[in-house]
Amino acid sequence: MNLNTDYFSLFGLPVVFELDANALQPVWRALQQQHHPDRAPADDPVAQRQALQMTSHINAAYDTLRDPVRRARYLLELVGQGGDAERVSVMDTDFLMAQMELRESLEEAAAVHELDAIEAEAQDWLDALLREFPLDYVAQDWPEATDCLRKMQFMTRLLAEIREQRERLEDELDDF
Amino acid sequence: MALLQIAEPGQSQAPHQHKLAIGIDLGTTHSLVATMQSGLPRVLPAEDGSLLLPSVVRYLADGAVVVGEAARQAAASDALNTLVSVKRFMGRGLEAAHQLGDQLPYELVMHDNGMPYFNTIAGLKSPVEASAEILNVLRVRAEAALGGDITGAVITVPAYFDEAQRQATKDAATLAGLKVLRLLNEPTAAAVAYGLDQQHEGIHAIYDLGGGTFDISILRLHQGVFEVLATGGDSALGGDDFDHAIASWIMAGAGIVNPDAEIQRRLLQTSRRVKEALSTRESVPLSLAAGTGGAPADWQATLTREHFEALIAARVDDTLKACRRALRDAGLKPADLSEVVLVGGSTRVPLVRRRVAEFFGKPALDHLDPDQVVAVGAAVQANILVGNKPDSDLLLLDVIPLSLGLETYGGLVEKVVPRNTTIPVARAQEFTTFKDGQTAMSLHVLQGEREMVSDCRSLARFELQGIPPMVAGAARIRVLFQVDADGLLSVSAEETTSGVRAEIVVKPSWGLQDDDILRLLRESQAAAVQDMQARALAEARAEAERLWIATEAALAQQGELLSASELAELQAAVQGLKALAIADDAAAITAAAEALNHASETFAARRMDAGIRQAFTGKTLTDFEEH
Repeated sequence: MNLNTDYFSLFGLPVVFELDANALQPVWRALQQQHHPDRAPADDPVAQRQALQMTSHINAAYDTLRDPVRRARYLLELVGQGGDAERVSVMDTDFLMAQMELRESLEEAAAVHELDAIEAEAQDWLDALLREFPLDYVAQDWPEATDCLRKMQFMTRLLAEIREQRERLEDELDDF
Repeated sequence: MALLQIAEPGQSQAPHQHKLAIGIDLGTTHSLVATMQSGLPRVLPAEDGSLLLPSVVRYLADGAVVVGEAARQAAASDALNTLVSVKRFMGRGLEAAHQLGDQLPYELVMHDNGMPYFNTIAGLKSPVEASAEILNVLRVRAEAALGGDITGAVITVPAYFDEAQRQATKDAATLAGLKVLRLLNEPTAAAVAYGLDQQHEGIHAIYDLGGGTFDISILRLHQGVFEVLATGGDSALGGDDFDHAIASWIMAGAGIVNPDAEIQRRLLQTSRRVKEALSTRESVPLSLAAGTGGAPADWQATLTREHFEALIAARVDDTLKACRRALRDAGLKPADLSEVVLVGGSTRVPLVRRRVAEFFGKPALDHLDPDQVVAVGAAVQANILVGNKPDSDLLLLDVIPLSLGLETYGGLVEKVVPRNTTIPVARAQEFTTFKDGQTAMSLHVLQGEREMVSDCRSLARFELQGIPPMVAGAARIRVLFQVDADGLLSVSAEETTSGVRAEIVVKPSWGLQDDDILRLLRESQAAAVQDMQARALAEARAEAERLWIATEAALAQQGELLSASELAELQAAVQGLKALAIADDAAAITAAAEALNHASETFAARRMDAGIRQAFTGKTLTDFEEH
């Protein structure tokens, strides 16, 4: 195992989209126990540097594998299809309309409970996309898979914004 | 599956070679040092048996430094030269330092390097230098107690400390002659102490409210691995703020306006005692005589616990907001937690305990001394890091508390490593050129959660030069952020089509370069000499003035005791001294003062004779004997 080992192999997994997220954590802990800088001699700078790089790689793998959208992106990168997801915009007008409407309601939301509905709808969209992606991926339909990834990234960003808005509203309310 | 061969830390050592390792809790209010002895943690006492070293540093005129209880007792009488709560200034710019409160009894000076310095009688002192004095006392204490040189130390920092604050802490330790094994987050250290005490598996919240900092950390403990899931807090919120709230209340009630440094300190000390008393009592009576502390009239009042709680409720709510955010970052609800642990002296405040228990829906644990747990946890890890326990399972996996990013076009921040990412971590981001033929790119590294550059903390700026000229957007600049296990960042940039590289270890603008630390040590010695000279001059002038005033007064009273030539000689000596006192030569002033003293010897003798004659006049011998 080295810094070029792909994330799936690092965790002893087959290179597929579906995985048991709960199974990742014990493997991650075991890898950390073995490679963490604390396990290398404190006075050996070379061993320390290697440990730093190795654990950074392990942590990057863990962060990528446990998040389905990052995992999808990584799968496409592995087959040389990752670059386009950032550069080409989504052309699906239905999706774009839905997205815009959700954003509008987010901007107008003035109470925490209004956010619940918006979040649920965004999450539904994301869940549907997460079901679609493995089908495109297995069919090696790269344009469709890339398009699906772009939509997932849109929804992920939207969900993050909903979360930030919720935080702002809750902090203003001061209810504990 | 291991290609990398990493030796176990203990393997290369003889089996019984025990290295001396210490854990230091460098606190806002007080600091401690602990170590592991025969498998048990032990907080090391000072010679007088005390465990807690007040984090107070007093600079004396002769350049001597007093640290601890003796310094704390002088905090009010010598406010400007006695630095308390110096941790709140670590790694902060002057503006941020001023934001700590308008009641700071210090003279802060902006140094060329962008750091605020305290203007003391012993010269300008940085927060890093003052912290180094505290660490130095603890190092000496540990060496005396353990009978040898310290191999290394784990120093704790608030989890919410940013890059600059961490770097400043590490610099202070280096300045104090300590090898830093690791900067460890305080709540994580406390969790280790608790985890060691009882084998608790599950998810725990550590609520750590100290003198000047607040941290909340959510950790998962499983088979010796302490995994921090999320952390949050405020590196400028603590028990000090409760003291300030009481002090403001007293000032408003007693009508004290614009108190000087000494009065501010006395008010804060009183407030602190009142706060502590209110942990066990329902009310504390207060009275102030007119004139004391600048009070215009006699003032009497009673501060009830209820009123005190109203004064600090908003700050306690701020801590709960941070708790809620940390829980959300971890994707958890209060019910998911097995335990809540209270750390830090300020968790003795009943309102804090009550609100924390309400928020998490479970009673908070505090069976270990909240003042000691952090140092104990640090000692446990230090012992492992020097290789004394090669078979230990203990592993601490911490996170970065604040997002790291780069400035992009339009003054916006692009996050590269989000907050609560497990460290060590390496993240790369690609950027491209903005103009045709652009050969250099300026990179601005920032920390914080806000979108605008102006709202985030600027950590460093550096430039990638020598990019081959290409059309705009064709260059591929790969910027790599690497955060090590101490939470310290280094950034490198590379143009990937040409391989041009630039690299920087982020030393925040107000941090110290390694060379700076050596230079600082030399400079502080040189500055001390300079200060001593300035002081000698001032003292000589004061002494000269005192002398000529006394002489002139005596001449006006009893000048008739001298002959005309004697009088002229003495007056000439006075004029000579007055003329020299304007010059900057302490030795010449002292010599002229000596000459005046000498010239006035006859005069002094005659005055004494005259005085004795006067005293005897009209008195019998018996009167004198009775006296």
